Amino acid sequence: MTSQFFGIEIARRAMDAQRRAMEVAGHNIANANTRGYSRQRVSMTTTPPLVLHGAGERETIQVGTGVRIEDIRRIRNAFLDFQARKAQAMLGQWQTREQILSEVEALINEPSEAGLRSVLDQFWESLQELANNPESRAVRTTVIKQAGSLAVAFRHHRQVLTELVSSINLSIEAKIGEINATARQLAAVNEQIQRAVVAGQSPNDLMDERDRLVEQLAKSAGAVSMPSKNHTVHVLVGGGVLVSGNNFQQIELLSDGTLKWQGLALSVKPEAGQIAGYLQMRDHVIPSLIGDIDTLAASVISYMNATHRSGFDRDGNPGEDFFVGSGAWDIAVSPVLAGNPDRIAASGTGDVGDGSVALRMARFRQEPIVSGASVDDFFRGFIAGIGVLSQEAKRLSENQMLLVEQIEYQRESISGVSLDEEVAELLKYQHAFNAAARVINSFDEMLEVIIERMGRVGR
Amino acid sequence: MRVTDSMMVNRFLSDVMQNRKALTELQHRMSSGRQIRFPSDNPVGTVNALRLRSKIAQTERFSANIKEAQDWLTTTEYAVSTALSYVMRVKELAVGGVNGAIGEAGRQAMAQEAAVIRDGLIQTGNTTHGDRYVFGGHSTLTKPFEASGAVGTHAGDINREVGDGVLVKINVSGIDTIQPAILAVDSLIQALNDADIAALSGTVMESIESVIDTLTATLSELGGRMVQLSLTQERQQLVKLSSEQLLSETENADFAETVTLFKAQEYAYQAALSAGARIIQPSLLDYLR
Repeated sequence: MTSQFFGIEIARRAMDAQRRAMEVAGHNIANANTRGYSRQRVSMTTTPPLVLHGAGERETIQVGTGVRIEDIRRIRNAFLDFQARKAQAMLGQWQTREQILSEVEALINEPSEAGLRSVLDQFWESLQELANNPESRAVRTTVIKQAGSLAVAFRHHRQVLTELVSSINLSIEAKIGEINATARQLAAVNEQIQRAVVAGQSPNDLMDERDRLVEQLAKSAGAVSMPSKNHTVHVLVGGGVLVSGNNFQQIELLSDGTLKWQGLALSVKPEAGQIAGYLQMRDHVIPSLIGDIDTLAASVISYMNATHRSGFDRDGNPGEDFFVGSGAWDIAVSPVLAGNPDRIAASGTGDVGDGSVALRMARFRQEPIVSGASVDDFFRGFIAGIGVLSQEAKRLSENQMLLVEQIEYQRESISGVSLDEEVAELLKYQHAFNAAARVINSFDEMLEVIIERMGRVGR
Repeated sequence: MRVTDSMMVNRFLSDVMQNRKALTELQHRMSSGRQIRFPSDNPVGTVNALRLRSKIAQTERFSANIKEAQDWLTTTEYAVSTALSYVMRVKELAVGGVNGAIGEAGRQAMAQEAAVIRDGLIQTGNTTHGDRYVFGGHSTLTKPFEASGAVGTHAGDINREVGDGVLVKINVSGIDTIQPAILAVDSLIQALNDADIAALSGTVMESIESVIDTLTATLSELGGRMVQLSLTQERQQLVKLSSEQLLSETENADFAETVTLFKAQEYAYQAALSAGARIIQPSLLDYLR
């Protein structure tokens, strides 16, 4: 036999559970637009039944005792998270490459009438003009001017690329700061999660936060994460441990540009993510472009000087070096020529009317002087190389973007909050709550009958 | 599949962004008139554009070189033909001098005329193009002829590059052309003064004939070079024209195509906007009491 008040207890439990469920729906609605939030679901279960003895035909029967909230779970697919992190790491890397290569393209300014090609054209033209008019001082002055423009163009191209390297270093420094801060935050979240789990709670919102931070690290540092005990994560960057439980390791940028684990003698080698993109550009792509510009300048210098030395100037003296310097960083017109254009050795014989050496100098762009290629071919190859790299980066970052969006879409489909759904749930729980209240009413009326109206026999 | 509110909004936003990106791209193509702005827009096209731009600059240069060569050759041709007409007159004088009837006084007058012609030849030998002597070989700033005759060696070819690596010689040496004429006139004057009839009809006449042959041959050679140059000029113009056309095809946007694409993209954009406006607004809340 159960107490007359037992029904009220069942209804109270029901009202409690339904109210909780409504609160969860409210929490979902409140976080419908929160980044990284996974919708939560209440899982209800019956409370343990009462066993009654000798209450009917059978010896014992079980009587239901109502409902309780078993758990509040977040709805999330771990496989999609894994995929999303991988895609984010690649996206970060290719977006960074794309952004820097676009900058390179803007800096070299080709095809246009203001780039290095145009300056090469003008220098060639001035040498042709000199071959036609070796006597003319005005033409000689023009040659010096155009040669000066060429030298400036070489130095400028090299300088902007060198400056790009320093600006990449600034970006790396900022990114490292961000990664370190995120790692610290993640370690703290790990600790909170661990405490909650040990206390038997399910820290849904903390786990969302944990996943958000891990994904951020995947994008910036190409971090790989592994689930660890008590719902915490273990995060690796380039094989080294960044976060483990509530411990974290900081990364530092040394003055020579290398990345190192703070306090350890190990360097950090990110394999993906924005940092990897920056490092690839800084250590490989841009230096190789700078090397190309230097090779080009050095070839022009050595061809021009050798040819110029074989000639004679306007007064019949043998020619000296045309350019000074040994690469794109220090190429300049020889001060001897700049001070006296008569010293340009245009003549092959010493006679003033001979422009044959000027004509040979003008062939600097057609002769195979840059490691077997002509200046024109080499320069076109240089530009095409940048174009192909940049095109590849654009294409891959666009593809990765689509992939990330697709995964995000699938993840949203599973974890996202649908307002329609939540409102419907809300109605469902509200109805159940109302009905439970009605149950209390019924028991109340029953008790009223027992208390108020019973025991009046014969009164 | 569950479709949540933010899925709809995100997909809508990403579609609209794609549309806007394509629109901006096309708009930029229309306003700049170029389909290659950066090498990555089309690496192969960029290489062609660079090659064609340089090609155009080269053909312009070669055309200018050809024009200059033609001017130089015209000056030379005029000078050589002047020299030839002088020598023709010299031949008439030599023929006249052989005639015994003209006498001493006649021969003196002839000798005087020959001396004037000799001055003319020296002047012709000092013909300039701009401020450069055309017959002096590489010594373009030194007078190739003085009153006494040729000065220096007049050596050296003056060349113009009229195509990639194609050189055309534009000068003739004064020693080979004008100097023989001056020597022939000298021998005529000598023979007239000496009344050496045998020389007049013999060695003098032979040297005059040989000078006429030389000058005529030089003129036809110059004419030949002029023809070669004008053919080369035509070819350079054709190359320039076709390079410009190719450059335009490579680098410039096709307006009809771009406008059509833009129009289509604009419709897609507006459709995306109106579909988004309809689908995002309503929710279950609108239908609950």
